[in-house]
Amino acid sequence: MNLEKVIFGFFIVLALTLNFGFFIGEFDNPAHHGIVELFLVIVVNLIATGLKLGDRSQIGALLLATSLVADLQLIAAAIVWAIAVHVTETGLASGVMASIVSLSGGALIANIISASILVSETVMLRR
Amino acid sequence: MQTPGSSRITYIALRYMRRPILVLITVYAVSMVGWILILGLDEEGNPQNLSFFHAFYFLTYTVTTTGFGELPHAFTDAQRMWGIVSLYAGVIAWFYALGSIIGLVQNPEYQRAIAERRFTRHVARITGPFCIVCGYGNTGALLTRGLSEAGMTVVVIDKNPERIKTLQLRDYRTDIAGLPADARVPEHLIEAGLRKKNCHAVVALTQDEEVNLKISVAARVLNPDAWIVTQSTSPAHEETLATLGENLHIIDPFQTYAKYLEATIANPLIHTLNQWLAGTPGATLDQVLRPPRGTWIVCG
Repeated sequence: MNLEKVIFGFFIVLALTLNFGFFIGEFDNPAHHGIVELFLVIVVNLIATGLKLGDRSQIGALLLATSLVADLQLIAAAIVWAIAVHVTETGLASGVMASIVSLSGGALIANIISASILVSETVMLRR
Repeated sequence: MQTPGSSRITYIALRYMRRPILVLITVYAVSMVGWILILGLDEEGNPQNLSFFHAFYFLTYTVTTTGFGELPHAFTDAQRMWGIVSLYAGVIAWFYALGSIIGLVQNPEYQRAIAERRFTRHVARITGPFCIVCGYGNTGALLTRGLSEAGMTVVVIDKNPERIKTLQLRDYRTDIAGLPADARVPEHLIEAGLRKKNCHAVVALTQDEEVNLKISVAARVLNPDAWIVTQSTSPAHEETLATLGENLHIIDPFQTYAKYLEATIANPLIHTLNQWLAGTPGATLDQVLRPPRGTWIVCG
């Protein structure tokens, strides 16, 4: 067992599960989507991106690309949140919450792709 | 595995920056969690912790040592303590990241990749006919000088980086590009533009005749139209080289010297005329070499 591989897989899967946890719930209900969760999703996603740096294989490039997509969407969601709460002071109205959650939903897809690549690569190695 | 410089550059850079980026993310995340958890008070004394937005804002201006003060409200002493911790941790993380960037720029492997990319781009820009000279020793340097004087663009490959460096110090009339690499690797010959239509000739002039043979074979396979000029003193190698077909010129330095010597002894006037007609540097008609007459002992 390779510790580096464990950490790598851990962060990719954790990014996916946290992202799912934030995404799930009533679409536009702020009570179902916590900011702490969003923060954790962003941090774990960024760490996962960092771990994927410097792998020159085709699969490594694809993994990095999915991670960058997820980062982009999640950071956009955080920016929307910050603007709604601190700048326009509209608060987490249902429209705002809907756009935050849909952005995180996009990131969720990217994370699912990333995790499936990881799993399929492992399965191929087994053979 | 050898890959072209450009793809290696990003790979090395990303690999090098991986740890500093992870350190930065971790330090920021831990500091932000601290800021969210530590109790703060607003102006009226009501408890109000920093939001994620304000925590990130505070970190952004403190760890880059800008320092706008305690925002949005004056801090409690507990927050100030955490401020000290996050400031030092953040600044150290940034210094580590900057140090890594400087280390990356000085990394010899990275520099080699940069030089290789610059060389490949240089070669790609060559439009007129050019020659590839493998081996920049005395002969190679002399030949490069001659070709340059004749207005020919030259691409030099030598495995010794020091020699390639001296290339940049000399002033040539034409464009001379140099690659510090092993010419036996066909990849490097391709980088030097062997596959290009305007590649006029490949000259194999390294000290090792095995190497010269390998270069000649690779050059013939990769570009059947280019002339191949190679140096060889052993008949075995010459036999192999002869199978490479036409557009091939084998120079045996001993034979050439022997021919010159023979001509000088037997017929010095014809030799001088020949030199003059061939345009050898320094050859004039009134300068006839007169070797001593008599019996000669030839060694070798």
